[in-house]
Amino acid sequence: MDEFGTGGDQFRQPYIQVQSVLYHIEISSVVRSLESLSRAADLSIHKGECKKVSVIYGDASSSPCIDGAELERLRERFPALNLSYHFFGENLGSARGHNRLAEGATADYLLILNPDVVVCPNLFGHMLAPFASPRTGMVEAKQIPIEHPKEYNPLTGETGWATTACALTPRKLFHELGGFDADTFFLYCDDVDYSWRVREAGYKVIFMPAAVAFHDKRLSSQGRWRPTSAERYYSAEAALLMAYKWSRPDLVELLSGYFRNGGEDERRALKNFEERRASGKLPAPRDPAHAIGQFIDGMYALHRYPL
Amino acid sequence: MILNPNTKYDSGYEHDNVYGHALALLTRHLSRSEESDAVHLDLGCGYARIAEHLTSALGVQYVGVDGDSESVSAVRARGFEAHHLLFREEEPTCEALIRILAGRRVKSLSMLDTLEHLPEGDSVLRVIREIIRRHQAPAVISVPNVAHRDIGFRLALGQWDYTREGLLDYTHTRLFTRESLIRTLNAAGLHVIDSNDVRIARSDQHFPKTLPSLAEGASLHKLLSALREGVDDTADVNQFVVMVLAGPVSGRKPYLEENDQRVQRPFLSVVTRTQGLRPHCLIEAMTALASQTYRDFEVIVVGHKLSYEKQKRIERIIDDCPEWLRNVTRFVREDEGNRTRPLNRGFSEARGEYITILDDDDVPFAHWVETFHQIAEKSPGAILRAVSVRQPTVLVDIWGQKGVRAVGGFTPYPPRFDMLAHLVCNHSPPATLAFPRGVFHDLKLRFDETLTTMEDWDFLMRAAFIVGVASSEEITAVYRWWEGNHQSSRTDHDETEWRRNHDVILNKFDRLPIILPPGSASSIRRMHEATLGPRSESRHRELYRRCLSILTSTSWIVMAPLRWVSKYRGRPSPIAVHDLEGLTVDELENLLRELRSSTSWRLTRFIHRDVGS
Repeated sequence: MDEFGTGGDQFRQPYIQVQSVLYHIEISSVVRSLESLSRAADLSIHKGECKKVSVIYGDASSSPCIDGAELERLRERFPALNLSYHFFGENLGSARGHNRLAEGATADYLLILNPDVVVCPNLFGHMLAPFASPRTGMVEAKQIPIEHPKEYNPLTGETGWATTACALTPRKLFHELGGFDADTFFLYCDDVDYSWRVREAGYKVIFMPAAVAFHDKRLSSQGRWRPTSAERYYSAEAALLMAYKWSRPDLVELLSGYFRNGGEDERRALKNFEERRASGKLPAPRDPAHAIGQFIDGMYALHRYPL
Repeated sequence: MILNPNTKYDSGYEHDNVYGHALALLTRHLSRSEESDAVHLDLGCGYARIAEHLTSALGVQYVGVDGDSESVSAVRARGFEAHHLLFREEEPTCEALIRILAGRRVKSLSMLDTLEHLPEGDSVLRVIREIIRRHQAPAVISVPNVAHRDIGFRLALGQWDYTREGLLDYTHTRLFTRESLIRTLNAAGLHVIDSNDVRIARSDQHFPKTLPSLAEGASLHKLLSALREGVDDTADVNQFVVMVLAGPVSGRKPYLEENDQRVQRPFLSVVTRTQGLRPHCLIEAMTALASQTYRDFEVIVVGHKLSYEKQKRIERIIDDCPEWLRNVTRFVREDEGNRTRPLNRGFSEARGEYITILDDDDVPFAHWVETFHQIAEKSPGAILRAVSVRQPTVLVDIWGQKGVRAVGGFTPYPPRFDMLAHLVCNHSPPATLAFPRGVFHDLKLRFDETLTTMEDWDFLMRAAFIVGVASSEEITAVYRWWEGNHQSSRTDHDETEWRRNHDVILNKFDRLPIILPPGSASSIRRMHEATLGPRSESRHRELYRRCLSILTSTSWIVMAPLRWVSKYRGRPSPIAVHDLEGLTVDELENLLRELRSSTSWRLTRFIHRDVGS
């Protein structure tokens, strides 16, 4: 019998909590996502794949994205989703925001979801399937239209880490691992770090290409992904923190060298990292034998193709 | 009935005019009468030149009715029954005709080339319906065709002239196309069961002869003709001759009401064809549609030759969509034809202002529809084009579920539509294009069902030649390039078949007049120059220099009066310096030869040693 998943009698029809952190998002994007979640929940409950789905939003914006009247309308419109909403009153970042939302959770699984993601109708069934194995600790949906290029085993779906644009993990495991490392990561790489800790604990991270999550990203006219300035800053900062936490001081030095001569975002990220190091606020390094962490060509896994 | 003080409307019977065509229709459907009291009632009979032929063919009594006393007298003088009656209000007209019939049975009725003159034509049609309903008889009605190409092509250049009689007789009160005639008849409860139109390629409106839109040799005429003939088969119809029966009144007015003029349509119709072979892909496509930022669209999923199980699976996928998407999606089954047929079926079902193709393995970005809408706002009526990226993919099966795995990055298709490049091959996958509904529903362009591949390219180009293409450089869709053993159009058809289809399409292009977008002249010139190559280029420069030397030489200039005299005698004009630029190597060589052998040059041999010779 598995420890967390659907194999246990009590979890044959698990309860799933979908949780998203809002940050100055347009309500139309949230509604689009809820419409898809509502249908997916209806279908999944009807098929007996799960017994209950709830959606919980944590709002890290400076002012609420959803007011009381709007919330009531959404609750009325999507009764299957048991919608709840919390205004944090501060920008907690994604890692701390998700930890906060998971604090009082009683669900069997947590679906970490970007609030603008539109899911396919059979999402829950597909994402629960790999938990039939007791060794599965995290399942990631495939993002469209821009599929993440990181490598996964084309026969088993096993992969190095999972993005949390749309990822399912047992609530118990999440709590046992202490959730996301919010002290270290604000916006980026909290998912890479969590995935690696899932694997460090002996579980597998599975990529499910049949479970589809539409994440509204656009390409430049050259067919390249277009990161914003904030994305460049936080990914640069997270890169330094990941290298440090997962025992790659050589990479920390290498990245520091690049960033010192890089753009404004990179220089700012390096400055912040050095300040944290000076004040002793960096995490304790782990995985000294490099059994889990992978740093390949600036990525956290082998990539199938450049993007 | 037709009161025209300037003409007599006394046309003789000919087998190929409206009389002959009307009688052919009647004899096609009626046998010769054995009853002595059976009549043929001819409303607006004029001089009734059909009477002899009709009575002979059908064995009926002829009863003519007209408002013109002179023609009624003339008919009577030939021994036929004729009555004077002006068609006005419905009831008195009906009563008057019943009195004329005096209990005799109406075997058939006709009203030829009359309806268009009547101010109360709709009332008269209702009278006709009442009479033929009571007698269960057919009626033959004819009217001139205002959509004859001669009228339309003249009007395209601002010319519209009434004439004493003919297609645009100045006494006409109503004008008809085939569709408006049917609408008018249906509104009166008359329904067409057969037709035998009179066709005249050059009508009485074929003037002036060299009008560029009318003259057969003119490019403009060829273009307009190609379009007009594709729309329907009435371009050369002079008169519509139809047989009608009495039936239910349609409930529609004989004219278009405001609702008919401005039909509420979704902005876009998305046509998705599927053979049910990759439901996992269709789920992705539908999920991407559920993510669209602009929702004024409908989806038509055309299932092609599906088994019952596959159809149920597709219907299940549609039913699983979020409610709003489910409500704008409909499934259509198509059991005939090759892979092109579902496109024609889907396009014919489409209600949208624009129509696009999203195959079941395409993935649009969230702003796919929104981008089309933005282009349409800027360039209404053109084909809308955004950009696709090609991504190689394979199929995987993980935890018992099939899924799509990308195995390579994105390769964008060209950001702008280049008409000349598209004459060679296609650079625009279907999901990057949205066609204005007019090209399919009004111009009646169809996907060529004889093609087994590249049918989208063929359709795109035939439409682009007419309406042009407006582009956005936004990347809005992923076009999957299947690798491995996955079935796709690339693997379903061998190379020979692809090449054959390519050749067929290129031949079709050559048969069509083409409207090129502005800037094409320079593009073609550059392509031409590029084909000259560096060696030809230096030869071109040299020939150009020699021709220029002669044309600007003193001896050439002093001989100008002599050449003027030659020209006056009918010799071709000598070339001007500014024309040299556009000549090819061959043309420059010919010119140089001609210049050197010219009288001007030979007579002044002694003074042009300095010029290259």
